Amino acid sequence: MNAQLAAPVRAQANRVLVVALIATVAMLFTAFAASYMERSGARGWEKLELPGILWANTVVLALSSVAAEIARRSRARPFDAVRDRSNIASLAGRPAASARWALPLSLLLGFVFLAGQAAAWAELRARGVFLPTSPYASFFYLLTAIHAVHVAAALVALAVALARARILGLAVGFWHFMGVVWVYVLLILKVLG
Amino acid sequence: MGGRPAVAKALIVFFAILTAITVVGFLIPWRREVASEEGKGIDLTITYLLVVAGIFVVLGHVILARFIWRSSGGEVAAYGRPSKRAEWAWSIVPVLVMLVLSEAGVLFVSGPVWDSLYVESPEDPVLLEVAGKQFEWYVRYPGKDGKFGKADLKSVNETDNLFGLDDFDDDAQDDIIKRGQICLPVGRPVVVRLRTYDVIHSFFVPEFRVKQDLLPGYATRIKFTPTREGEFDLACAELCGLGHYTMKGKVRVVKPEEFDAWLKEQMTFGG
Amino acid sequence: MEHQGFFRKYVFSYDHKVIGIQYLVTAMVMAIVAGGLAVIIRTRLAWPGVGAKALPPEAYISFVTMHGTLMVFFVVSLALSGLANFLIPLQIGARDMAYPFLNMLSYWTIVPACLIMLASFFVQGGAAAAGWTAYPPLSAVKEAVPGSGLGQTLWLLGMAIFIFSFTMGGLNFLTTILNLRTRGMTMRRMPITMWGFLVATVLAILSFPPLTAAALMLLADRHLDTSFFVTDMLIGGKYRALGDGTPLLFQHLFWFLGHPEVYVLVLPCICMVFDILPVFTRRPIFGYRPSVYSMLVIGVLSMIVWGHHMFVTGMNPYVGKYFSIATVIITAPFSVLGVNLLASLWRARMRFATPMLFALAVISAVGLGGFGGLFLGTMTSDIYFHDTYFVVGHFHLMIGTVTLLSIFGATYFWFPKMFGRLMDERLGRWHFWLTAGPMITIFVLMHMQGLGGMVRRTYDPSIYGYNQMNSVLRLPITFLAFLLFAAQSIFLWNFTRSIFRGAKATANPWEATTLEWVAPSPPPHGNFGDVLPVVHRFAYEYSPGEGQADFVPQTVEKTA
Ligand code: HEM
Ligand SMILES: [Cu+2]
Ligand SMILES: [Cu+2]
Repeated sequence: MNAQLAAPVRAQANRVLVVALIATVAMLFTAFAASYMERSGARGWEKLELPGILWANTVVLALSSVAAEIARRSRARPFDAVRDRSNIASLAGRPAASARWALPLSLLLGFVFLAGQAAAWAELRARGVFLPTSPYASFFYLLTAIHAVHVAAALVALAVALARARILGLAVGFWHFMGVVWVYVLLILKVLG
Repeated sequence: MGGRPAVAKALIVFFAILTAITVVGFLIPWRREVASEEGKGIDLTITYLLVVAGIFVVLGHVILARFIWRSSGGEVAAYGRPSKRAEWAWSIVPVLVMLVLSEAGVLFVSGPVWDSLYVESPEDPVLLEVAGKQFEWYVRYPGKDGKFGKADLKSVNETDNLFGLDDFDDDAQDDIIKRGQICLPVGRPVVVRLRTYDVIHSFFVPEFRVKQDLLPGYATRIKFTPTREGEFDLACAELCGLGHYTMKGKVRVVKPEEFDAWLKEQMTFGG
Repeated sequence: MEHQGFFRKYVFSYDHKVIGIQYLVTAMVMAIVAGGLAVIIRTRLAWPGVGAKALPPEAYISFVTMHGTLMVFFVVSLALSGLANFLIPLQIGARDMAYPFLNMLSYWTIVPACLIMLASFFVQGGAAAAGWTAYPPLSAVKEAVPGSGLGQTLWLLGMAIFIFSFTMGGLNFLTTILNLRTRGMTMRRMPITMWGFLVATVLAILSFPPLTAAALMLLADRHLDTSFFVTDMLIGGKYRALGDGTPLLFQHLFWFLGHPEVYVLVLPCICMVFDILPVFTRRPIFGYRPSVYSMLVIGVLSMIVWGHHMFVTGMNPYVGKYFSIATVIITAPFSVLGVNLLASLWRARMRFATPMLFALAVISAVGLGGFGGLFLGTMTSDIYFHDTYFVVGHFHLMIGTVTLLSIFGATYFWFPKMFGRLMDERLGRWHFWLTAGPMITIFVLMHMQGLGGMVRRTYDPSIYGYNQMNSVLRLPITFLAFLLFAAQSIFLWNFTRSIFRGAKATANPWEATTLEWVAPSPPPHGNFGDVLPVVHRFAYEYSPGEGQADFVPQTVEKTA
């Protein structure tokens, strides 16, 4: 009787949880965006050339999202099925071949994205652009770093989903959201100000 | 009323006392006698709100006491849920009443004063600049040319160059600089440019009823028109550090002739 | 039921009831500290001439700062988290929160936040001293005030952890209320307290992130040489090139949270009073639906009016006007709540138990505090009142008095459910008179000082001549504050004693209708035995009709 919830209730609660989580993270980035706009209208604002690798990173993140989506659609709980072949129910859902590779690939691409971000920071450092160098640089590092922290958290969720297929849908949903936020961040940095 | 519990009576007395403290308290003239045109407008807003709020606070407490009285005499409670119509009626009425009264206050009582303070530019104002720093006020008049010399924080010197003026700047030569003392003529609008050297301060003269923050990196502005002579305290209203409470200045409002004479007497930056 | 060790049961418990009580007790401990600071502040203000050695300005300002911070975030917010934890599953008919582990985690992250805040008193320079609003550059530059050294860093750290924990808690409240309601518990049948917590939680989840952003940028300004908020300045006689940031940005971000936070605190409190009233009037509450709609409107409006805290910052006058117009619109839905509270007393048969006394006093405080807000939302009167004791009196009435009186009432009311015993009525009454009277009076009197122009956060108001007249109020306010503080020992004694010695409570000692009173007192792990209750009716069926029972619990089936 230890507060075990019925599966549909749990699934619905999970969905609300992710929506709320997305809302609160979205507000965080909205706050940064508003700050950026406010600051860009004031004195001493000068933009920088963005590191080219960011575009490659964007593609990597998009591919990772696609892979995650393939994993979600294949629905067959690949790892449960692999581990527990007696579990007919999970096999019944016709495990697509993609079920096995899609999620790990998505994770891998996620890490590649983070490595790519690190490379972008390294490039800026090499150019002599540090966090306090200019307001734009401050915002660049801040926005990308906060985004990277959230990406790391989302990657943890994806990794957990490897083992616990129940949360796959949620983790993937949040992962897509991280992709959207990245485009948002990039747009701010490129277009605004 | 035999059946009425003592606590019900006590509650009624209690709310009566609270209401009395509030009403009497707000009727006492705590504010200093107003000394500016804009202050009169602000006082009008305050009076308007005191009347509105006063009526409702008293009314609310009377109803509260009345309900306590009625409901503690031993009758049984009424039956049934309140009707939907009553519920909605009693929601729409307060919404309309409060919307009308509060927006009227903002738009029609408060609005004109706000515009005169921040939107309209006054004719032939007395110009001066007040700079705040921990925990002092520096005051500067532009002198005969009506232009402030360029000020630079880097050149500020606490002994002989409070504003960091440039020795070779023509505009700066006739600037008049004072420490913590403002002198103003009665009856003419005054526009004060406000700057801070360090943290946020706030320029506040209770008799004028006006208040304006000083923001690092920006120049803000306050306008008022003194209406009576006298000497008033200038206070800092925004927490600015340990000495915040000591950050007092003096504002002296004098007759226009006296003001002109005073200006002439002052040493200018150029000497 | 499996055996649980002491730690699992009382310390790292997943049980929402235990966690709720943990929050409440933590809030009480922090209240003693924060209240003690208030007493010290009042002592200084009553006798400004003496004791400058014992309490220098640096201590005074950091005490004011920490009093405000602790009271808002670590007393009232935590007490409400406690009540939310305790009440939500019980009132909607759930066995626990949706995510019990997350719930346990959110309590145990708040503990280090409390400890960090308390520890900050003992670091070099003392605790943060830039006010609870922490405006930069005062809070950003070490030379500006001693507390802006390590103390401010710890303050920011403590706040960040607090926000993290509060968000986790909020996610739990939200998912639980939306998804775990038992059969028949439609949204429209929920006790209104659930609506209060729902609106408050949504507000908190949406409005705290900007404060997080502000805190991160402020930390960067302080420690990583950025210039988001700081500008070149001349401080301590030295010129420092800090860049050209925008200090106002911080205020926007802060108040984007700060104003909704008021409603995060106040709405659940008003709703708890709505829930207490019918039990002691034997009448349904008046205007359930209009009140819920009003709260939703207030919630939306509260996120677009933050600029009323910044009328005198030199913002664009048209923006200022907009903020004023938008702000005073809130008086309309808010007055619906006030009118409905009053009307809930209409044609009742009152029972004057302690929770009811507190509830009645809250109605008075809502009126007094609410109308005070009108003076501050109207732009030109706020020019005069901004940063004076009028503001201090006003926000204490709303987020100090309305909240604490409601929380006290709620504690007396739900205590039997928490511990299976009743609190002592006689002590309860003493506590009521000695709390409600002084508290409301203190803050009403502070308005008067504000009318006189007395500026807040001042170590020695007597320096200014214009404070002469309003200084007659200094001693009365301070003596009332002493009385108020001392009276809380009655509560602490009553609370502690009643846990062990109070009269045994039945499952439904107040003859109330809502679900928590269907569960045993105290409810076991899982709350409702083997089968969850099923809801058949509205939450407030008191005196439903001639010849019928005095009250009908929500679980009673409707007869045709
Ligand atoms: C009940 C007894 C209380 C007393 C006697 C009291 C007294 C005071 C006093 C004297 C100040 C200093 C005002 C100033 O000089 O600026 C203050 C500040 C403040 N208090 Fe209270 N207070 C009490 C309870 C509360 C509660 C329950 C809250 C809850 C929200 C609260 C929140 C604050 C805040 C936010 C400040 C502003 C701090 C700042 O200026 O940074 N207080 N209080
Ligand atoms: Cu100051
Ligand atoms: Cu506000």
